[in-house]
Parts: sequence; C-alpha cells; structure tokens
Amino acid sequence: MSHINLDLQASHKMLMLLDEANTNTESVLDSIPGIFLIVNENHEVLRANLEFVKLLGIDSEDILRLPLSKLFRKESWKIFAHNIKQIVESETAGASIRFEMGLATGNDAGHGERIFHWTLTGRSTKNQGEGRLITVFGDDISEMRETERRLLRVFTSIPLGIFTMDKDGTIGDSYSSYLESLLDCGKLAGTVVDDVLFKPALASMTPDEIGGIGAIRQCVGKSVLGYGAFSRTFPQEIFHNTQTDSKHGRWLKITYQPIVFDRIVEQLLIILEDRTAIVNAEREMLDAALDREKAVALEKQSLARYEEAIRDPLTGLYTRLYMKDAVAALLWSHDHHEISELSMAIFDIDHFKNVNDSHGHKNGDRVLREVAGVILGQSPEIPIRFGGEEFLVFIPDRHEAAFCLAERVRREVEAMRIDLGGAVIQVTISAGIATHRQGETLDDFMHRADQRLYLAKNNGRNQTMPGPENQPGEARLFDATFPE
Amino acid sequence: MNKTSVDESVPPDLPALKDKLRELLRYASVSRLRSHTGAAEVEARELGCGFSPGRILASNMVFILVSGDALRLTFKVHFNTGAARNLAFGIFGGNSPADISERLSIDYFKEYANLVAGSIVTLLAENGVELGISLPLSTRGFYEVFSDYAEKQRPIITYCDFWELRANGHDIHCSTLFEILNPRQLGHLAAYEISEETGNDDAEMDFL
Repeated sequence: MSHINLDLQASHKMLMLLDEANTNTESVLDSIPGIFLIVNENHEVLRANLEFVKLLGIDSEDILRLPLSKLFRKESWKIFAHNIKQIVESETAGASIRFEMGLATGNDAGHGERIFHWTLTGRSTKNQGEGRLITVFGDDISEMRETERRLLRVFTSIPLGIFTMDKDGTIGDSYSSYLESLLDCGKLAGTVVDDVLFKPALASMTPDEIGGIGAIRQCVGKSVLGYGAFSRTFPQEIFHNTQTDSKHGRWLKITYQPIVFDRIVEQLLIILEDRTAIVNAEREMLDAALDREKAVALEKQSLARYEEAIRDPLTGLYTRLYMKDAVAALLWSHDHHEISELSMAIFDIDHFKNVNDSHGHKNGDRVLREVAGVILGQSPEIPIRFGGEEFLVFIPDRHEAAFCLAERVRREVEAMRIDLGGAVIQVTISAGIATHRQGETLDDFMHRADQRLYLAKNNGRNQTMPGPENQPGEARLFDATFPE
Repeated sequence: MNKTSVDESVPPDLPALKDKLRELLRYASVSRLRSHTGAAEVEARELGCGFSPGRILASNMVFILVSGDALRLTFKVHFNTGAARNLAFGIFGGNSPADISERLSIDYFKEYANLVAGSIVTLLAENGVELGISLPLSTRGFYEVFSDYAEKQRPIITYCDFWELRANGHDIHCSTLFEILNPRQLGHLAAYEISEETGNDDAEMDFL
C-alpha cells in the first residue's frame, strides 16, 4: 500500500468522525426552539429548523429558497425587509436587530397571525452565489402578548386609576382607561403628576398633606431603604376637583407602591380608588343617624310633653285630655265585644269647699293629693282627675267590681287622717257607679254615673251609689258583702 | 487495462487540460448515474444563466475527495431528499419512495459519489495518474455557501465546474473543484479520448 493510501486511510477515520459530528450538529440545529432560519440577502430561506417547517405546514423540500416575504403581511414585510437591508449594509460584524412582528402562519396572511420577537444577525459569510447571510431567530410571544392583553383588559375595566410615575415626576405608563376619567384629563402620558393629581386637590388638603406631595417625587431615584420615611408623609386621600362647583369633585384614595430595581426606587406605581360614592354614602348614613337621634329626642320630648299634658301635676292622675283618648279606646273595645264589661266610678270629695275655705288652697291641694293617692293605691285601669275635687275610674269589668273598688276607696279615705300642720282633718268621699251600654257615648255614660253620684250626695254623702240596674237593696247587699 | 507512462517533458496545454478534466468528470457522473439508477438515459445540462458559484443547489450534499500528487478533485452531488428517495427506490425497491428513509437516500448518493470517484481514478490511472479516494461525506446543502470556487493560477491552478443531471425524471446537481497541483504530470491528458470500452468499464475499484 502506497503512502498516499495510508494517508487516505487515516483521513477516512477522521471523516467518519466528522460525518457523525456533522449529523449531530444538524440535529441540534433542527431542534432549536422557536424559529431558526438562515436567509440570504435576497430574502430566500437557505436553512430552517424543524419547528419552522412544522409551523408553516409545508414539506421540508420546499423550504429551500422559500421567499421570506410570503410569511408576512405586506406592511409588516416592508419593515422586515428594511431591517434585513440594515443588517446587510452594516459594516459591523455580527450586527443585530431585534423587533416584534406578526408571522402569517395560515394561508390567508390576514388570519392566523402570531406575534414573534425577531432577532436578525448578520453573518460574516458572503459568497458570489448567495451574497450576505443573515440568521433569523423568532420567538413566539403571541401567548405572552395575549396574556398581557387579558391583564390589560382587567386593568382597564376595574374602576381604578393605575399609573407609574417616573423620576422626573411625570406619568410613565397608564394601565387604566379609567384614569383619564378620574383625573378629568384627556392626555396623561408625560404629564406632571402634581399638576393633574394634586393641584386640583390643594384647596381641601392640610399643610402636612401638601408637604407630603414633595416627598412623593423625592423618594424616586433614592434607596428603597429610605422609602418608608417618605411614604409616611404621602397624602392618602384627597378631594380632587377640577371644577368650580364642589359637587363635581371626587374623593380619591391613593396607594403607592415603589418599583425597585437594584435597591433603587426607579418608579412609583400609583393606584387611585374613587371613593366618592362611599364617602357620600357614609355622609348620608351619618346624616341619617343624626336625623334619627334628633327624631328620637323629639319623640322623647313630645312624649314628655304629652305626659305632662295627660298627667295632673298635683295628683299624678290622668287629666281629662288623656281620658278622651284612653276611654275612647275602651268604649270601642266594649262596643266591638273585645271586652265583655266596662264600668266606671265617679268620686267627689264631700264638702271640699269647706276644706279650702278653712285651711286654704294649699292644704286643699294636700287633701286632693292624699285622696288621689288612695285611688292610685287601688291600681285602677284609668284613674282620672276630672276636675276640681272630682275623680273618675274606668275598669274593664262588671258593675260589681267597680262598686267594690269604689267602696274600698271610700272606706280608706274615711279612715284616713290628714295632718295639715296643726290641724288633723278627716274627709269623706261619695261615689256613683255606672256600667257602659254598648253603643253608648262617653258623655251619656258619664252622665249616668254622675246621676248616681248626685244620688249618693243627696242620700247623705260618704257612700257609693250603684247603677240603676242595681236596686237600693242590692246596693246594700253589696255594702253588706263588701270584704273588709 | 493498459497504463500509459507520463512524459513530463511535454509542456501542458492548460485550457485543453482543464476542459478534458471537466469532460472526464461529467462523463463519469453520467455513466455512473446511469448504472446506479438503472436509467436508460441520463441527460447532462448546464445550469441556468442565473447561477453563480457558491449558490446552494439542493437541500443535501455529498462530497468526496479524489487526491493525488498531480491533481485534487472535490466532487459534490447536490440533491433534494425527494429526488434521492425516488432514485433510491428504483434500486432498493419497497412499497413507495416515501418508505425510503432519509438516511438510506443519503447513503445511496454517498455510494454514487464513490462510483464517480472510482471511475475517475480508473480513467486517470489508465493515463498514468495515481489518485486515491476519500470517504464520501454528507451534509446539508446549505454548507455549499462556505465553498471557495475562485479561479486561481498559482500556486495551485484552481477552477470549477457545475452541471445538472436528469435521470428517470429527477434532477440532481454536480459540482467539482479542480486543483491542479502538477500540470506537467497531466499534460498528456488533453489528447486522451474516452473510448466506448472505457465508458462501460465497471471494473472493481480499490476503495480505501
């Protein structure tokens, strides 16, 4: 074997290794994720990875010299071709351009477009047949962009104003379409935050809050370690009003979030929450609570006045005013069979005029109080001072019960001795009893009781005269059976 | 096979030598493709006027080196997998060309490159020019961009040739980079005529 053949034999071994290495390298290139292409300066595909072939759904045989322009919409392709031209004409080795652009993966260039992030890099290889070569990497970011769009929709649909403030105090990015409405400002990008957010609120801010506005701008660009000291002074809630009429203003709650990079506060994320409806509702609730308190106080006052009006201040018994209301209800109940019986007793202190004349009105009043106390002691349903020395008692019961009550009162008064400061006197009372007849008016009812009282007076006083339904004999019978 | 001794005293007619080497390569490529595909007719054509050296011709490429003291040839076959499968199917058989694996179709053209190189070695050996053959190497057609086809006169005479072959309705491309290391050893080739007998020579090659 010649030395040539020996050399070739050694080379064969090396070629076999190279062949295997080349196959593996090609396999790696085929498996590159995303889109990997090598194109010539005429925009023809010379090499593509498997994902690209799969994405386009074409035969790998058809990839070679596929015009790149077919993959893009006309407008997009102009930009893409321009970028390729920039790379081809660049004198810098390895010049690179990155950009985003849609790739038409379907048959119709207008549909099925997916957003890719492209990286074009110039290669040093150049030959007569293909010209300058460019590698094209494309990362499918359509899902990421879709997620961003969804997030943005969420941001823009929630009733919050969200934006970032840059180092120069201007609005950087706005993440909410609601922000323009909140701040009543149509163009926000680049606008100074102080001008659109705090200036229309100065009138309603305290000096401390106004001082905090400066701290907002000062904290940006500084270490995050000092942020806490700044943030404590930030205004938390403002009344933002761009109009002269205060009813057009909004209550804005402000939340601040530092955006930190490398321990430096690079931006502030500012979130505005419109609390106008809440504040107004709270105010209405407060007003309503105050109104309720006033109403309760008024009701108490009214009740006290009514109480004053229906209570006789001297005796503590009800007055005639109350009698009309209370007894009317009793009469109605009896007329409508809600109670089976209704009776009344009318009392009159015997010879009361003599007491007044002999011992004075003050002592007369004392006697009235003592007699009233006896009546109250019997706990009747409705005890009333009808006027002067006359008292009424209504009880929802039979004639006999009214008679017995009247007799107990009469006997107790008779047994009572009243010390008038030097003189001890004894008074008696007379009483008339009547039982209500269904349909009978109060006046008629009282008139009948009054007639019985009149009879008791004429009959010698200090006695209880039962109703006409009860014969004198029956009256005595009551008297005789009355328990001691 | 009669071997001719080389007379290095004769000054070479370089243009005629270059053309003769081109002719030999094209002849070998056609004759070996005919035998390798079983095609009744193999047509050799020039490439289109838009062609420039270095242009990628197909998705795959197999190349082989034929080398000796006087001459070095890099012969390349450029083919698409579809054409390779169809041509290989004619030899290997099976249900359909689609059943021919890519690996097998590439091996098919590696073997073809071997046959062409072997044929050249035989033809030149008859003329007293000793050459050896490398293993055929396959790679993607894309790597053609790294080829250097610039014509040179020194220190080595370098030139190239490109042509297209059609067999059984399928096209492949061939290219060769000629590097003449010692023209004086090859000068006599210019007068060499390929005989019918030589064209049908399927003698066993000495593959290394």
